[in-house]
Amino acid sequence: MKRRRNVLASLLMTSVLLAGCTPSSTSDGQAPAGTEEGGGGEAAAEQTESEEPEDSGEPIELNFWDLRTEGAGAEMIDTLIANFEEENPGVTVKRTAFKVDDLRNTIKPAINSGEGPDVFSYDAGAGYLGVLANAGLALDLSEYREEYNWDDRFHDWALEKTVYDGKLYGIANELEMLGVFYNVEMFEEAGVEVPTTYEEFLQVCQVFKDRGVTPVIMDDKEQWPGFHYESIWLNSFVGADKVKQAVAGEIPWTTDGFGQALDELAKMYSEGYATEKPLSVSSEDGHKSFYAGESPMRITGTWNVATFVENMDGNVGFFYLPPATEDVDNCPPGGLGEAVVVNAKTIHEEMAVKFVDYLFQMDNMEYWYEAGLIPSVKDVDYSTYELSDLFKNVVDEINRSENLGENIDVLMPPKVNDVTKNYIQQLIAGKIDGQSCMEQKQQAFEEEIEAGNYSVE
Amino acid sequence: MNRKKQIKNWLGCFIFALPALFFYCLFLVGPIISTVKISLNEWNGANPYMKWVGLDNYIRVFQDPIFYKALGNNIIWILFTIFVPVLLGLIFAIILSNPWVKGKFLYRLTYFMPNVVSLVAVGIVWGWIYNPEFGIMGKMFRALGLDSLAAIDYLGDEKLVIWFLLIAGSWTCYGFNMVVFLAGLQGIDSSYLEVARLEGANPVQKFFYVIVPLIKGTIVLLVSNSLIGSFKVFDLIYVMTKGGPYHSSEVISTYMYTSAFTMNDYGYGSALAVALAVIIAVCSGIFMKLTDKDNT
Repeated sequence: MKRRRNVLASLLMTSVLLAGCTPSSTSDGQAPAGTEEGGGGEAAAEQTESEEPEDSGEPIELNFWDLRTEGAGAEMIDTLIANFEEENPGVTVKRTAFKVDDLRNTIKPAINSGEGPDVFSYDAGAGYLGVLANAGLALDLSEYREEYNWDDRFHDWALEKTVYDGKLYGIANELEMLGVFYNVEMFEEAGVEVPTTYEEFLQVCQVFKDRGVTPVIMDDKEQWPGFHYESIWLNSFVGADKVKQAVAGEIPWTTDGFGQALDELAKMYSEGYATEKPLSVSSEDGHKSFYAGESPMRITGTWNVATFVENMDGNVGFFYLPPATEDVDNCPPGGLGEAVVVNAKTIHEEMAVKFVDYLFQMDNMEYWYEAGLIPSVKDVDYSTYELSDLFKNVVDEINRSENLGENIDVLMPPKVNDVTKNYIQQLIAGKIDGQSCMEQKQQAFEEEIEAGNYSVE
Repeated sequence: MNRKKQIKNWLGCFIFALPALFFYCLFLVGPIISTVKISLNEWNGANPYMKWVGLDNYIRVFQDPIFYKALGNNIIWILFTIFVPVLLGLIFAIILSNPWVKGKFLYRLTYFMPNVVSLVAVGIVWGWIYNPEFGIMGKMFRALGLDSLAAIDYLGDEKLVIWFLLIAGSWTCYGFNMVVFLAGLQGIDSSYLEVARLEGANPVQKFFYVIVPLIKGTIVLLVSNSLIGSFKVFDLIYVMTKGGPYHSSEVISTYMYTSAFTMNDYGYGSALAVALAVIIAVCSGIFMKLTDKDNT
């Protein structure tokens, strides 16, 4: 009996020590008074300053975590790293590529434990980078914004998307627009033109439906494509300005027009214009059907331009879903795929920021563009780059857009997105209507604001 | 003197057990305590401090309709995997234990193979089988003229999705059950079967009155294994549907993962984990008690 007690005591002692590895808890989630850590960015910044070794000429190894596991994007990053190392003797950059979910799950404990990367790619939205910023895990780059003249180099609206509480926390490394890719030959064979109004778009759909072809591939097995459909239809029906007001909390999501926009989205399925069994078709399968010419249109984002051009021998075009009425400006939804962020606890702050800046220097834009990626750098002269016509068109569209519509999910906190992905699937399945969807979104939105996970002006 | 020797002996044992004990605490006891601690707090996984909320997360668990939906799916999964793969395993084992079956090794290998394949790979392959555009399931039904079955949206229909996932899940484990049953059947003394034959028992009577009582231990082992495994099911569902469409194939482990890692609600995710652990412990305890009672 006594022996059992002793073993139990040893077990408990070890366990209690281990349990100490999780953060301490307070009644309000803030740092206890009198402790050095402030529970926010300042604390981390202080720590960085105190630990930052000044230039001592010693070799520096930067750890960089990113999301390019393969393909042209991965090769491009490797090339930029090699060039950076060449220009900065004594500096090596150790790159680790992650799948999106793996990086999302790893980054917080890694930084908290002091083992995180110096620089990393991360989702730019409030539910992701915003959380790291508030927790003091991402470095405030505001002072470097001036030092490196980033305002002159990057699109203003792109920089603003990584600003939290007035401070800059990342550089957008991929601009993405949402719209409709189309099979040029199939359009020509059917004798249809790229639609300029929503009504024309529906007419094009009807032409293909009459020919026994599913007009648009709109899968939603993985649930994230549904986010894009919502953004596209809301921007097209109520306009970018109203969507922005809803995102800012100035008007509710239940405002007139929002629910009806989603009803129009649902009609795409009920009228037989979109994929027949969308909830069991994956995005990859959707792509393959599009490459095979099984459907003439595919709704997705511009990050697919290079892949589509390659797989369809250039037989592909792109247009934004036209606005539903003349009152609505054509402001297609777009956003940042991800941002490059510096760890607030890095001991190589200066070099880490220098590396981030290097990635986006004008001389390096050729590498990005030729890899099919569009950083948020403005006024890039791509005339000498080897680019497909479709890619050039997309770049021109982005550069022309001073007022982009919102790609809503990248701005919303995770719980709102969780509600969204489920109601979109219900909407597609014909279980609920658009207004019910918007009521669910509004409720989750209010709960997240109240919980302090999303701030409105 | 005797006491001194006892202490010395105890210390010796403890030192030998220490490395294992350390890793046991590091990878099992420690995380369990941490999980309980997190479940009593509100935490987004990033903030350096957690907010103490007491039992709020547990109250939320029991008021959450999605939790009950997930629990219901877990129960369906348990009932199905207790009966179907165990029964299939037993049937195949009995067939293969007959002397007239040729090429037993090949059959055993074939049936057991799904058990060694990673569940992620299984999920991907079954996803292809169910694919509405090129999946073999739809094509097979269409070729047989069963258009109504071919028209089913196997992974997109909220009422049917869990059953089609269960078919994929059962495919992975009946082979293991078969191998364990085969071992159990080979352990039966042939004299019992011979006596039964001499007494005039027919094959059905031999099965129910001789074989089943003699492999009862194996049945209990496999049923309890299925019971615990069914509560822990995650990979297959996550790969094939992520708990969708709209939570209709959600089980507690997928909901727990989504809550903690997708919604950044680590406190609630941990409360779900603790609730799952308690449910498994209670069910296993009841099952063991019932089988113990039956054995005595």
